[in-house]
This record gives sequence, C-alpha cells and structure tokens, in this order.
Amino acid sequence: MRYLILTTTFFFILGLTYVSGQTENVEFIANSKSTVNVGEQFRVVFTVNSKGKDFHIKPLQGFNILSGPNPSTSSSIQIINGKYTRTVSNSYTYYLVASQEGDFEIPPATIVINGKQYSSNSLKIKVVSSTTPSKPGTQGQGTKPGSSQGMASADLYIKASVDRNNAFIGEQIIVTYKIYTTVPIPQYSVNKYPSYSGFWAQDLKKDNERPSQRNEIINGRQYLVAEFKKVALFPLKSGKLTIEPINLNVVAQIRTQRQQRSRDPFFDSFFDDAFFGGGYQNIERVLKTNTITLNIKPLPLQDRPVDFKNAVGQFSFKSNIDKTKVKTNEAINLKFTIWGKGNIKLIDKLNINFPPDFEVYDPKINNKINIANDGVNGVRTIEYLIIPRNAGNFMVQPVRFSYFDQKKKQYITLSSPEYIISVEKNVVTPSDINYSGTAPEDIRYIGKDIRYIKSLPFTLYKTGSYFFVSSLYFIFLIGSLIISLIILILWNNFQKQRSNIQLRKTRKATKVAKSRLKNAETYLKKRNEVNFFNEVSLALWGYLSDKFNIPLSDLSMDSAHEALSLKGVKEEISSQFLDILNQCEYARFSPAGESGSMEKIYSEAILIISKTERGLK
Amino acid sequence: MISIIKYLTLIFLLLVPSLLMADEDEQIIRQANQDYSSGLYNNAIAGYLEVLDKGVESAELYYNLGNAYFKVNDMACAILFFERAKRLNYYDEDINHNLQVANNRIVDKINEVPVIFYKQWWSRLYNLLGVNAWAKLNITILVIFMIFVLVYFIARTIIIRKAAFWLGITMFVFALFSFGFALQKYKSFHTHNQAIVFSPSITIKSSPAENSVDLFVVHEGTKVKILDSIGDWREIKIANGSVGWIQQSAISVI
Repeated sequence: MRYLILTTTFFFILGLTYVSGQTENVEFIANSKSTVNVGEQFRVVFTVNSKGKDFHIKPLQGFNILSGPNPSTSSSIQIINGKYTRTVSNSYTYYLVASQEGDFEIPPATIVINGKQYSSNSLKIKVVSSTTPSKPGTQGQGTKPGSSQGMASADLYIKASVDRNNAFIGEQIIVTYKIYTTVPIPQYSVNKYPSYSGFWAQDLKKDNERPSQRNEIINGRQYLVAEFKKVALFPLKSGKLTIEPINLNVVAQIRTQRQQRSRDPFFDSFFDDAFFGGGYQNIERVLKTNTITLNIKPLPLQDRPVDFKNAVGQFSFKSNIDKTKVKTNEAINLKFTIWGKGNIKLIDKLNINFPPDFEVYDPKINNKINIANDGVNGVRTIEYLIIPRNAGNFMVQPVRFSYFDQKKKQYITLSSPEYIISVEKNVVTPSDINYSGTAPEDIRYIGKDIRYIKSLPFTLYKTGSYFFVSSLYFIFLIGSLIISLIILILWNNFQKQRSNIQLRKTRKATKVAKSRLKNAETYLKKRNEVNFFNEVSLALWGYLSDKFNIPLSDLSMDSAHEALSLKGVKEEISSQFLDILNQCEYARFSPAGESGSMEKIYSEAILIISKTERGLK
Repeated sequence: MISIIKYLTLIFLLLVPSLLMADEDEQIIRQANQDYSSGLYNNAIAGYLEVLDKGVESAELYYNLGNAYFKVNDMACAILFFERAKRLNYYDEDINHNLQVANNRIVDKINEVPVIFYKQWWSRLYNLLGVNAWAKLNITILVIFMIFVLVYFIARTIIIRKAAFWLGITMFVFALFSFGFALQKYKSFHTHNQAIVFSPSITIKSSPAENSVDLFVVHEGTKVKILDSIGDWREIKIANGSVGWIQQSAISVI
C-alpha cells in the first residue's frame, strides 16, 4: 500500500516537473504496480497534462474493475525565478482486483485532446498467487523483518476447521474459521464468501458480533487466535463434498525499522515520519483458507421408515388439539410441534391422514431457529385448521414423525396419539340448508394407490428353465408317439395270433366233426336217440362255427346260410346242410323219433360235411 | 421296466429342486411381506431381491417387488418388475392395475399406435397361458390325439372309426396350435426385446453415434422395444412408433 502511494506520488511529482517544462506537449501516462497478488486491490492511474475528453479504455483481461474511471483534476502554479508556469493535470483512476495468476497487460487508453486522439503507454502487470512473495525483488520473505513485505506467512494465516470429516446426509457439521496472528490486525474484511454448494448453511455468528479472541501457543510462538466466522452446514447429498476456501483481506500492522532501509532514503524518510504511522506500517494481505473435503455418507436404507422426512438429529415430537367434541362447521385446531437439534428447516411436511369428510386448510408452519455456539436447534410448529362438515365420530390417525439419530445410527419414530373427534349436528341455519342432501352421492374416490402385495404361498420357478424346451417335454412328446406305436404293433401281433388260432380251428373243423360223428355212431348203436341227435347237431354246428370263424352263440339258420353262401358253397349243398341241421333239431326236440332215420341222418351228415369241404374254395 | 424307473427319477429330479428351495425362500418372502406391510419398503426390496438372486422367479414375487419399488417412488424399477410379472401372468388383474398406476406416474405419456386386429387376437390368445402351461396342454392334446389314432386302427365299427378319425384330426390341429402358442410365448421370453428406460432423461439419437442428430427425449420408466443393436447402442421403438438409437446403459431389459 505504502509502495503504491510512493510510486504514484513519484510519478505525480515527476509528471508535474516534466510537464512544467513542456506545456505544449501532451503527456498521457498510465502507471500502476508491476506485481500484484491475486485478489489484491490496486490502483491504475492514467494521467494527462491537459484537459481532454472521451477517455476510453479497452476491456481488461484478468482483472475486475472495482471502480473507475474516477476522474480528478489538479492544477498547480509554479513560479521559478520569476517564471510563471501553470500546469493542469487530469487523472483517471481505476481500482482493480486481479482475478487470476499470470502476466497480463493493461492496454493503452485513449483520450481526445483538442480534437486529436492520444493513447497512453500500456502496462505489464504480473499477478502472483497470494502466498508467494508479491515482489520478486524481495528475497527471503520474512528473513528481512521490517521490509515492506517483511512478514512471514507463519505470522498471519487463517484456517478453516470442521468438527467432523465424516457425516451423514443432514447431519450438522460446524465449520470454524480462525485467524492466527502474531501481529496486530486493525482491520479485516471477507472479500469472498464460499457458496457452500451441496449444503444448507446457517451462520452461527451474527454479522456484527465481535470475534472471540484468545491466546494460543503453536510451535513455541504465541498467537492471537480470533474466530471470525462459524457456520453450521447440513449436507444435502452424499459423496465427497468440498467446502470452498474463504478469501479474507487483512490489514496487518508491523513495526518498521528505519536503519535497514537502504533503497530510497529520500522517500523512506519522507514516509517514516510520525504522520505516516509512527514506526508502524500497514500491510494489506489477502489470505485464503484451506479447502476442506468432507465425506458424506448416505442415510442407511435398512429399516428406513416410510414416514422418514429427512430429519437428522435429535428431536422431540408432540401434538395437541384444542377440542375433540365439536358441532359441524366449527373449527378445530390441531398443532404438531417438532423441536430439537438438527436440520429442522429441512424437514418435509408430515403425512397426516385426516378423515376425508373434513375440510382441512393448508397448515400454518412456523420455524423458530435458535443459533447456539454448538449448532442449530429450533422449534417447528405445524398448525392445522380443520372444519368437520358432517356429523359423526371421526378418527385422526396417529401422526408419525421419524428422524435419523446420527449418534445412535438408527431411525427413531415418534408418534402422536390418535384423536377421536365426535361431531354433533349443528342446528342448521337457513342459509346453510343443503338441498342436494337427498340426492344420492357418487362414490368419492379419495386416493389412488397400487393394490396390495400378494401373500404366500406361491410357487417359485427356476428362472430360465422352461418345461417347453426341457428334455422332459421331448420325452413326453416322443414317448407318447412311441407308446402308441408299441400299442399298435402289439395289437397287430395279437390280431395275427388270433387269426392263427382261427386257421388251426378251421383245419381241425372236419376232424372235430368226424370225431363227434364217431361218438354219435356209438350212441346209434346203443339206440340212444337224444344223445345221438345232440351229438350230430353239435358236430354240424361246431363244424360251421370252426370253419367260418363264427362263435357258436352267434350261429343261427340264417347266419349259417349266409356264411355258407359267402364262402362260395353251392346253393343245393348249403340247403341240404341246413336241411339235415333242421332234421336234427327237429328230432332232438320231438320225443317220437324213428330209429330208421337215425342211420339215414348219420350217413347224410358224414356225406354233407365231406361235400361242403369239397365245395369250399 | 428299467427305463420307466429312469424316467420317473428324471421327472422327480426336475420337480424336486423347486420344492426344496421354497421352504427357505418362503421365510425370506414372508419377512419381506411383513416389512412391506409395516412400511419398511427398502428392507422388503432387499428381501425380494435376495430370493430373485437365487435364480428363481414367479409373477407374484415380481409383483411384490414392483409394489415395494413403487412405494419408495422408484417408478422405473416398479414398471420393470410389473412388466416382468405381467410376462409371466398376462391377465392378472392386480398386476395390470398396478402397472397402469405406475405408468401414470412417469413423465412420458405416449399415445400407443393401435395394433392390427389379428395380431392383437394372436397375442391375446398366446398370452392366455404361460409357456409351461401351453407345453403341458400340448402334451395332453397329443396324448388324446394318439388315443384317437389307436381307436381308429383298433375299432371295428365304422361309426367309431369315423368319429375317431375326425376327432383325431381336430386334436392334431389343436396340438399344432398349442405348440405354436408355446413357441411364440417362449420366443417372447427369450428374445428380451423390450426394455424400460432408466435414465431420468435421455435424448434419442438418429444413429448410433454421440454426435448424431437428437430426435426426441424420453424419460425414466418409458417402455421401449429393442429392434437392433450395434456395440453399446440399441435401436429402439417407443409406443407411438418413433424409432431412434439409445445407449444400452440407459435402458434395462424386461
């Protein structure tokens, strides 16, 4: 600061002396410090030695204009050896602040004097970060106490600290900003507040509150520690969150030592007199805190109650109602109070199930936040105005308030009692008569929700295993084919076997008939009529049955005739056959039989069988 | 005889695992259902997912999981699991109702292009039963068909043989259809050509490249049909017929 004044004054004087000689020549000069700190305020002065207009400057890069151009005019009259000189000096002053490190140029400014445009010189300015020495020429900062930059970074610094680095979402974190100094600080100001993105921030110090001070010994040096800012932060999201640094402008007072000055005795003696601080020097510094990274954990999903409304801390919850017995259209006041330590401002509104027949107005929410040194606590009241419109007994279900206690690391649910409100019918005033009361009302749908889950039991299937493509399916598929094929083959074989038996039977038919006739012969000899005719008819019927593969029970005269003619037996033979059969049947059932016919039938039977045998194809 | 015993043991081996697992899983599901009814939806989700991770599934399980996701307001997941439940049980009233409610909660409201009537009939038909039910029906019908074939060959009376012939042909047609339905249903399971958008908001591109033209924006929970895939990109079609490309990571296959 001092140096700035020094140089500008120097140029001012230089300008004056210079101009005094050459009044006619226009001098348009820009000057400022050549090296500045990031965030440091400095001055750029454009001086012109005559009256001009349309002062213009190109946009500046790397610098922010705090104010300017501030024009000022000075004139001086000099009488040297009787020579009278009047000089006019117009200056345009800018107050700039460097925003980033690097080498920058302040472009020439232009001004119009007497219709002619003049431009100034350009300025090269080196911007260095505030922690490095601001002037390259000063070697060993701090080793030379008393020089204009003679203050070690250990002499004066600021620091941000947090009470915890790991926290849950919504858990309070207190950030404290402290100045550590060994030199007196008459003045400081915060020039950049952090934005605290990702947090809800609550200042714990009032703006006009004086910082608390105390002495602390660090590394054997005594520091004055001043807590100048304290903020309670409530993280709003999880992950790694950073707290941006805070920038502080500090003016420090350091004692100057005259004998060590050697550079410019004239100016030093000029400034070191009582008027300019009496052995003290004010140094302006821009200090920056460290960046703090916080690890924010999400709240556990496990056991999170459905009523959880982002409250983290330690809370209490109560409710009260002003009356539970009312008449229709009378107002009821229902008040819920949440109080405690934590992020009380961030709590969402409560879920309250009012009976749908009630008219409920938007709640009046009142937050009272108390800022204490150890954090934020407060009271939130939520007041509902309810007007029952219909008579009856209604229940306001218990309201549950859940919060996460970060100390116990668990969710805690508090519940209000349930309220039974009995509403009596009010005596109806004429204006309130509701004529539509008799009309049937449609069902009112109060809410739309998904249907409830399905309860056990239900079958679980293996994912991705389908009966359709499984081997079992193909086994069934091919199996059913094979089984039916087997059945068909078996059936065919069975049929074949059966036809074989038939064939044998047919072949044997004559034999069987003949053996039966032989039996009949013996009966003939014994003159046993009944048995004889039985045997003969059995022989004939049996012959037909075996020969033509017709069960005995199915045989009759007609079917026998049909079968014979079907097999190509001549009509006369078949009719003869049937005739003999008829005779036999007749003889069997008529008791008076002639013995002579027995022989005749016997011989005819033998004859007809052999005839039929021959007639068969 | 030996082969019959072999088949019986095979059938048992196929049936027994699902019976054995059910007991342990039942405990977890019961606990999850209890958590759901007491409002601890996140615990319920964890429980259902644990059972699903064992490689089992059921329409009811997907449905319950979808419900739990719905309750924690994760509509994309809710819709995904409702859709999965619906795939297993197309005509369940609860599943369809909840899916509709969930679809009303998402950002995108897309007017569906009506499907041609015969396609609709076909899909209604084959969705009547699940893959396994169709396959079982197919086998049953085939067995009946075989019986008719046998009756045709064995019967002696003309009327019975005629009846067996025509009934046999009908059964054969039924068997073909049930096989077709089973195949269709199985294919719809296996192609995985439907997906749900999981990105809160994503731009659909005209071609599978980041620098291609933006076509339209879809939001979380929207159902899309996958038509094609190139690398990490999927060509998708939304219900109104618009087609475009999306990054695979933004969607989750049903």
